Amino acid sequence: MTTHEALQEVETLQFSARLNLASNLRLFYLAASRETAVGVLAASLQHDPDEMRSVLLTRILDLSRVTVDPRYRHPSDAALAVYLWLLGQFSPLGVVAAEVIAQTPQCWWASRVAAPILEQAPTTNQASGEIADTVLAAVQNSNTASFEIVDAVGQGAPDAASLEQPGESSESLALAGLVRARSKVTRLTVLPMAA
Amino acid sequence: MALIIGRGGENDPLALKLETLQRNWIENEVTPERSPDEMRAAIALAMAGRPNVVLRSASSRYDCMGLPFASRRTSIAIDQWDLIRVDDRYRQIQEGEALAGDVVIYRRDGFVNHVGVVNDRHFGDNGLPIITVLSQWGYDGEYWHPVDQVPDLYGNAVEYWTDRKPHP
Repeated sequence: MTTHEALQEVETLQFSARLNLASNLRLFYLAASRETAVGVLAASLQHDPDEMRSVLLTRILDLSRVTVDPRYRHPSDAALAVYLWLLGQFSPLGVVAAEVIAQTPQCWWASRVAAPILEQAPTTNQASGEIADTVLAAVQNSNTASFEIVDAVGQGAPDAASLEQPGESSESLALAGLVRARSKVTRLTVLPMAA
Repeated sequence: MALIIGRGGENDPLALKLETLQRNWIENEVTPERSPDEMRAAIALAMAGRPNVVLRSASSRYDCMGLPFASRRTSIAIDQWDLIRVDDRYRQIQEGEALAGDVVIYRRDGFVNHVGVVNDRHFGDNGLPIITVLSQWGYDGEYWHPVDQVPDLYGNAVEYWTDRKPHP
């Protein structure tokens, strides 16, 4: 199974059905760890961590922006949860993804995976410019790229004034600011804008 | 940030007011329903290769704990079993003593993973009890099933508990 096939598998109804047999988060992780596709993605993360982190974050950004029927659970809840679980092993980027998921409506498993990541989110200068680069790449790769960056904490991060400059979108300015800030960014929130 | 602090607690808007007999809060959260397509896939998975499993209801609003302890209105985290067991005065019984309405607990690696309600018990030709259970599988549907026919994720039925009061 290729990485691409693994991503496709994680987003199927059948995969979701298998993971939704779980009755708690511990069983959810157990069920996920039994899945071949999850094993393939985990191996890819070890083999090419930079590329796979960007891919996973891109998928999270795309899936989080899908229009959700308010009567039902988010259709990609299980996939979001698994992507975040994998990404959360690289905690600074996991925080970015967890922030996105915390704002995504109708999530069940994904919000449960996000909660401990956000509770343990670093508040000091533990992150690096790697976050900004990966987020920038993920947003640029996203099929539905229109994201609002609502919070970026850290020395050199874009301030409110820079976001209000006319002629450029707040998104591009914020991303540019993040890249300039590099190692000084400590925490970032990226929210999908309404479609 | 939309992160809920105290999830399932008294301030969680998704929680129903639910208490034990000792007036302790039971953490709970009404689960969003799954879409018809997702539910169809879940039912197909649950019933594949299990001819004796019968679907009773295709709701995702509750989980296995919510079925017996909240009348199918909400989901209750499985770690609340110890609180409910003590506060509601459940006592453990032998498999052969189980009657309709008693609770069966499934464990895997020592952890409680699944809860069901005994629906029927009779004795086979070999004198051993044959037990049918009603339980919600994950969040994807409620099934009648032989006690030993559940997803292997749940482990085995190892304990029976009852809140029945003996005849005075």
